[in-house]
Amino acid sequence: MADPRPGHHFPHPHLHRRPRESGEWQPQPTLLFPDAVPLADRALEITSDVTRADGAPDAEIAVSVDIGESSLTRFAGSAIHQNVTEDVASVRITVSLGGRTASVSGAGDGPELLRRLATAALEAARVQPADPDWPGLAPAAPAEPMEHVDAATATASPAARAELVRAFLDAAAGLDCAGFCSSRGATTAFANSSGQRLADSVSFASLDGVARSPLVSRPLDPDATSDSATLADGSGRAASIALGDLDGTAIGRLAARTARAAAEAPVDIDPGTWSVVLRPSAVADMLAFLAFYGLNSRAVTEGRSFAKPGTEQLDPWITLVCDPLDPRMPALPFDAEGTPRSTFELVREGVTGELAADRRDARRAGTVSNGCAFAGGWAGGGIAPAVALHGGSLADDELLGGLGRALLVHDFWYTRVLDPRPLIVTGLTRNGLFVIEDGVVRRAARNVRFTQSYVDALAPGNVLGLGEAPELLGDMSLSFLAPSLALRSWNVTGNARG
Amino acid sequence: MFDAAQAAVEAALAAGARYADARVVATRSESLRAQDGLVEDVDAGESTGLGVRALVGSAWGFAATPRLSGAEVRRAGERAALVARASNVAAGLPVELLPEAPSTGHWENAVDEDPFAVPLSEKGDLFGGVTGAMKAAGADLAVAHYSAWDVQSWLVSSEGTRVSQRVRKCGGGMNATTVGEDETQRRSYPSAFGQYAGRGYELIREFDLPGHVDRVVDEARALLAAPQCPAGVVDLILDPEQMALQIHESVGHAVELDRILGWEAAFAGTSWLDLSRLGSLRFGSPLMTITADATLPGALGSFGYDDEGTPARPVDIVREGTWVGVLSGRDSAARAGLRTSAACIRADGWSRLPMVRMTNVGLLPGDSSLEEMIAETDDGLYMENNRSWSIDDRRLNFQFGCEAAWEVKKGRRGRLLRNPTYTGIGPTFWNSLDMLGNRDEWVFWGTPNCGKGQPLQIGHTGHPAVPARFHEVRVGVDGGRSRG
Repeated sequence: MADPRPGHHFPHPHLHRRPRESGEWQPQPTLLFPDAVPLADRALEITSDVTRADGAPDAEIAVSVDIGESSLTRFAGSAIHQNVTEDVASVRITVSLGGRTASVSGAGDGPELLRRLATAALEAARVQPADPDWPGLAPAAPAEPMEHVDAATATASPAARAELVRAFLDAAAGLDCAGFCSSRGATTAFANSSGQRLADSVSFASLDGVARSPLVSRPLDPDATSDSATLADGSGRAASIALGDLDGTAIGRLAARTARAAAEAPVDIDPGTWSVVLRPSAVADMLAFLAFYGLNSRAVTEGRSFAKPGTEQLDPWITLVCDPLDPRMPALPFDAEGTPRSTFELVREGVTGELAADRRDARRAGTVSNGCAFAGGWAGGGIAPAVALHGGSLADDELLGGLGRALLVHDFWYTRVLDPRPLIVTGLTRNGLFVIEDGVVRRAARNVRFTQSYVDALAPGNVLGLGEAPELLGDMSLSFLAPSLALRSWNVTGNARG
Repeated sequence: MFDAAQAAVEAALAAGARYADARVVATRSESLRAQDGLVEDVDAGESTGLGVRALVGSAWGFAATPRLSGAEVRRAGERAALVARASNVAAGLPVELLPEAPSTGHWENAVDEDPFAVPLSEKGDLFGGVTGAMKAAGADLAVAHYSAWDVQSWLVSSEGTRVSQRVRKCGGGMNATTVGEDETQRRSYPSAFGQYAGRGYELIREFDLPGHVDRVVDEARALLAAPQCPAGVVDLILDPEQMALQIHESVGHAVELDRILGWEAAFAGTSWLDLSRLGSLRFGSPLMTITADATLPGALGSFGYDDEGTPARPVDIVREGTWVGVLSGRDSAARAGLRTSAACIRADGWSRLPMVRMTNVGLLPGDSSLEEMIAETDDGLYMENNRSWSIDDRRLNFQFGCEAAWEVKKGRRGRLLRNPTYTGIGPTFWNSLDMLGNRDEWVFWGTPNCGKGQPLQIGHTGHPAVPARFHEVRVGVDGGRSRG
């Protein structure tokens, strides 16, 4: 393997790009569902009327409105069996009376609903004790117009999704297939009584499926006391802002190829320490846990996180960027509190950097919000909404090339934290596990269980390389750009026999 | 509301559906979270809308809207048929519905004290107060949480079903976290994620949260200094709350007929169970009798009618160790060649397609007690309260972590141990069941966060459970990070 060590600063085109100064509703050239803006205005006006009429003229008010469409086509047994579409119209109203804060949400857009929500929010706020860490509302500040949106995707027809499914199935002909194709689009409008007004739209499409191939070998145990699987699965997936970017044939072909390879006399893996190459979906799982449990300000303040800003805690290969401005990410340019989002480094070449924060986290930590608030999200604190693992440069053969004996893992499954501070996680492999020997994928393996600290796995010296082709994973609320990743050490703690 | 549902059904039929049903659902919700003496988050919601399901060819089409005007609900009906018809591009076997007599009527669960009638200030005082008390007693982080739901629904089908129901539910709990040099420890009450039920606020009052503050904090602090749970194979006694999750993950999901048929293969997964062995497969020891019973009063998974209008009914799942039943609806039961639906079709609100969900899947009690299990164990562990859970996509290979464990030596409870885990293979584990708690220890645990389906749906499920003992179970899996 060529020397893959990063010795330079990775360029991030959106880094430190800060929003412009502005005031009222910004001109938005592409609002998929423009009704969101007047609905937000109405909600703010009605709530102001309610609070004034009820003796609380100084109430701080924030409203957030989502208008959109969400559709999803599922297939199983190589046929479409469920096909759903939903009109989205939701309103969330937050009222704060000197730090006594409550939020109310509802589905719909009628004035009676808005009045009920406003009244309920005011009543709930009144009975709360004041929060000494209440940070106040986000001040008026413009956000970068992003338009991570494709209008055709937001209102894609069921026929368009069905055609992609058909292409997947045709490419995996002869195998049993299951999965989904989704298309979504929404406009979010935010307004508050401090004068903040922001609106933008996002779309997102995904085709994700498995092909299932009959095992060439006999199952381990026909009585199902350990593993009676008769099928081996392979997965294929792709996601984009635009449904038109998805190639059903390529995705189906990948799933079928992986499934057929996985079905070739899989061997049982002995528990112990293995080197691994993780495909992007498994890497995205690690990024999600790092974002949720580790690289967030509240978790650090409360002692629940491993993160120590300014300290080299991960391998120099690891540069994690919160990058909602990347045009590939299905992200809005502002968060649930109306704070404009920007790009910042969570980890730079192994050194823990800026932590994700909402306004309350930031106040407690003595910093400023970096736009990572989620609706109703104070319990966990701010979460980076779009995380990219940057700096990969290795082709697949280079990534595998330096490995003697290792495992190639396509997907993780059912990962859960045993302890959030060391970030010890247990889970299983799924949809393709293979043994690598001398840099080459040699044979299929049965799925294994692992119990592994994700922090230890990424510790200095443990990362062997990053792939050159990141894939988009996740959804509109939390997305990732993740390449393949080679790691020196991974704890396999169980196999098909338990 | 019935009129809106009727109009949507008629529109779907006019657009070519051979069957349609529509539900108007009005959900009111309320949640509260307190930490370290402060009520941090009060959230309330109301969500009313209509979802219509249409059967065209081999696929379900479903459309949902929050707007209930005549034009909007008719449009939803038409769209449901339209999206179903688009599925013919990749058509499968025809969907048949097992015959059920149309239902009419109304059902609602009994509550002594409507949770929404209790002042928010009183709830804030209780939940904020116990977190303040836990903090004062030495917790590094003290959290309490509460949620309540009031769900009203009106269902109309093209076969003549016309039913309404109202289900009120609530629950909550508290936990104390202590932070050590490199780890955290946690103790919870009454369970790891709170206890939830189809009951009123009387449930919260029965918890007596203030009365458990000192024990919870003392144990959370003691865990930081406790020895690491050793690795090995031992006789394992589980508390009823952990048993509820064990049942949920390794039995409840495994017996969902849509999983067995492969309808959830890509996302939730499948099942190790093979329908050809229904009625003969030995799932567990003769002590193991599991039912799915949506008629249990006060349980979280109870209702009067499922979301396709079939009246709730108790179903045997495992009888004295033999697998005898599945969780099903009319379409999956017909596909599997069964004689009746288990009435397990439910949806997460108006905007989601109804699907097979657990009702109250639980163990019938035995004749031992926790005290007797400990007294009759020579060398083992007793574990309490879940901390982590993971199981493979066929519901065989599981690993659970618990908050705390105690050694059991020569019939007595011994040292407290930290970071306990246990792992196993479903049927092997259930066949090692050798002692089961009695009816006095039978609790209807509730799980308010069961995820399944795409788009994801959160289900509320119930799990009657008692303490139980299992023979020769692998424990102490820590990924090579022993810390004690």
